[in-house]
Amino acid sequence: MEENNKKTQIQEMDRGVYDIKNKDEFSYKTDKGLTKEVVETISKEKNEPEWMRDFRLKALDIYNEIEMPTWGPDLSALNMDDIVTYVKPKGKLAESWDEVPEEIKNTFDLLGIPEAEKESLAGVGAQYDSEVVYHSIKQELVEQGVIYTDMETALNEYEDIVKEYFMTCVPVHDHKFAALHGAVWSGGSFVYVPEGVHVDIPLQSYFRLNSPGAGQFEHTMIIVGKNASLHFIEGCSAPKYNLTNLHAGCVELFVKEGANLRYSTIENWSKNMMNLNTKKALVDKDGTIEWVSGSFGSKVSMLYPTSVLRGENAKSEFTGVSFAGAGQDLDTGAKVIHAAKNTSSTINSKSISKDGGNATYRGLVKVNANAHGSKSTVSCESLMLDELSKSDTIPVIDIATDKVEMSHEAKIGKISDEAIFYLMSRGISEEEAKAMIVRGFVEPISKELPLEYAVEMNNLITLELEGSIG
Amino acid sequence: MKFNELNKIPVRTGKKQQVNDISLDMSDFNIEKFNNFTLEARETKGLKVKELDSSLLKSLKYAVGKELLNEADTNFTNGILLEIEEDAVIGGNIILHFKMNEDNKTLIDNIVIKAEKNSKANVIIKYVSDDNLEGYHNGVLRIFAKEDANIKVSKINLLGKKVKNFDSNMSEIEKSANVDFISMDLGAQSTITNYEAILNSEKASADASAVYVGSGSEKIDMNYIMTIRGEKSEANMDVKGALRDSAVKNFKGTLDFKKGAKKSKGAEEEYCMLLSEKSRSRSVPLLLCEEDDVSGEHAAASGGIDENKLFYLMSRGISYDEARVLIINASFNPIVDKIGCSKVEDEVLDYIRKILA
Repeated sequence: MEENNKKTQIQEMDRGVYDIKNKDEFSYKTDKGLTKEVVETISKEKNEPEWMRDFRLKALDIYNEIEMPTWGPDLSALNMDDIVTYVKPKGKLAESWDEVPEEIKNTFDLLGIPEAEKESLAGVGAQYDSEVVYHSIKQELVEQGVIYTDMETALNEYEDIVKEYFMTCVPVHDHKFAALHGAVWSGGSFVYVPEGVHVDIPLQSYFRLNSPGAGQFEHTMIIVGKNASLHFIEGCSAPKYNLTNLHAGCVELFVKEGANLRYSTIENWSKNMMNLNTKKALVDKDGTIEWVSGSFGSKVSMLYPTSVLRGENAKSEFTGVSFAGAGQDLDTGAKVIHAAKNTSSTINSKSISKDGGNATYRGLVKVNANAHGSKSTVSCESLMLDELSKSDTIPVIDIATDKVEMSHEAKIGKISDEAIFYLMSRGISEEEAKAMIVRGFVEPISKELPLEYAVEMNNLITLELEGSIG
Repeated sequence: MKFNELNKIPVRTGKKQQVNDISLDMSDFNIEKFNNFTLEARETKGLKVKELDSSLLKSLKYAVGKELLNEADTNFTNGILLEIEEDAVIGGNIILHFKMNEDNKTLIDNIVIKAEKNSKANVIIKYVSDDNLEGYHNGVLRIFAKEDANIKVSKINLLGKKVKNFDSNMSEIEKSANVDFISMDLGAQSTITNYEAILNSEKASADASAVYVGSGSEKIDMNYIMTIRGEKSEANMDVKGALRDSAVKNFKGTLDFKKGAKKSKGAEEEYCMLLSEKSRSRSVPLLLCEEDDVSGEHAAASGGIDENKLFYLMSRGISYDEARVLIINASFNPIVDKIGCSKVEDEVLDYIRKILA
């Protein structure tokens, strides 16, 4: 009995700092539900140009037309009428950490954001609920013409660029939640790296959703110019409330000729979050997109970063791990569209499920008729830690040319008893042995992450495992 | 007439990917009698051929489509029950031969194979037709393999290129029994086939192997599902094919490990050779798992024909076309060999040669 109690305790406490709730304070909040008025109010509050307001209204119409997905995880817990679309935190956008309101600052302090900035980042943005509260970028990058700011500022100051690119990569017709995003988006980061500029140290943005019942719809737009390079890191979290929260962000990445972009994410949402995020990259000739993705929290996740290789010799690499625990349904994967000659892609996905969690890999590799000489390799591995859990692999491979090399592999299984026995015979406890094996399993991903993130991911795995073995 | 929602996959995915199911339009026709059927068996001891008994028509979870299954169960042109008695080992092959022609252009065959305990047999079901016949074939096959039975069934489709072909198959495999299912999908204008192996008991084993060749504007849609509930069971799928012209193929293969399938293994392999720029191959290798103590893997690959091999053969004086056929047939051989009747194997290889020429 005692053992059981201990187990529950750990599970309820497991997220430590991520579960700290702040008082729900805001300067403006829209009414519950989604109507034309709500969308117009958001646009007005933000002083947006007319084209953006019209864009939002058009997206709202499309949102109302498109049906809910007829596949994937159960989204019935989602009631749009209960989700507050726009929550504006008190205070204005700060450029120095000291100016950030105390409570918000404390949260980010606990999450280690400012230290990370001091030590290894070229710039940081932090979003609290719907708005960006903090943004900074190293001076030398500004001098080279790198722009790193929040989307609202970008819309004011770089309207032409935003207008040219906004939701051209992820069209609002893509799916219901892309349309929703188009109607109510708020906050997010804008990065522009001019031709030939190499940003050596990563830029980072951190999203945190604090208001109960709120939706976060941040829009991230990154344009990496010709022969330029960038590493961008995105972190996400939210405390746990009993209301269902919705996250329907959108990430649009434009990788120009010969450019290189690495996009790393650790998503650690609270376990009541519906994470319906859309991420997509358009890659031009000789460009490279690298995705590194870790999905931990959330109740439901549907996340399939997509690479459209539209220029010759464009490349994409996807490395992802997801960890589904009790009550979680993580439906994640990657998509690649080969739309030009000699393009190549690699997908390497690992998933872990335990305590009745449901981990699904869902992916697509599509080779268009003109994509002669393309190559694609996909590898998915799933590890199940107990018999309560579920793990599915749902890949689609669609090939429309003969000049192609494509291979797909997937494996599913549990930790071998022999491996545990071996480690235990060397004096390691069963718990530690399992944790070691799981860490070894995700090693290809953690080694792709910057050190602090790799450490964070290892800690998350340890926390997740503590509850399950006892 | 239009058939909707054929060959549904066990879990749905995005509509845009066009793999959830398939619809097929076809002109109206009347179902007429089919009289061109022969059964050939060298040994008949322990084999009973009977009229179909409707009590054996267990409802199928998948099949190609509900309507088609219903048509075959209530309105079949040929209903056949093959019973293989307990401990019977039938030497030689049991060959069921359906030949479609102008007088026999609609065939709805409903076959049940009941293999009693510890029995062994090799059944070959072959479909041929006149070259230009605009025919309709809807076949349903149910295989019940009792404890320790060892049954091999080959379905050989050598139909002409104007026949619409639907084929639903199911096997229920009991303790320590094995069903080896082989499918040659070579003919027809459109071929929609389904196979479900149900492994509910301990140590059951299922093999499914298929070869397909698509040509012209042929459509091939294959939906293979192996549902494993029994402990220490084994399920294997091996599919190879080639597509020329503007042929389109969807292969959907599912290994579904249900709770309780402890220590079971599953493997799925598919290789598709694309012989033309306009051909199109879609593969959906699904792996569903709700039991941790299993090992499952799948692999799918597609590509053009190996140019090194082609070059080698051509440097030895073999023509391009002949070299291509040799390479393709070589990759199909391990599966074709499983049929176990050299006469039929030769017919298959000749047919492949004919479509690739």
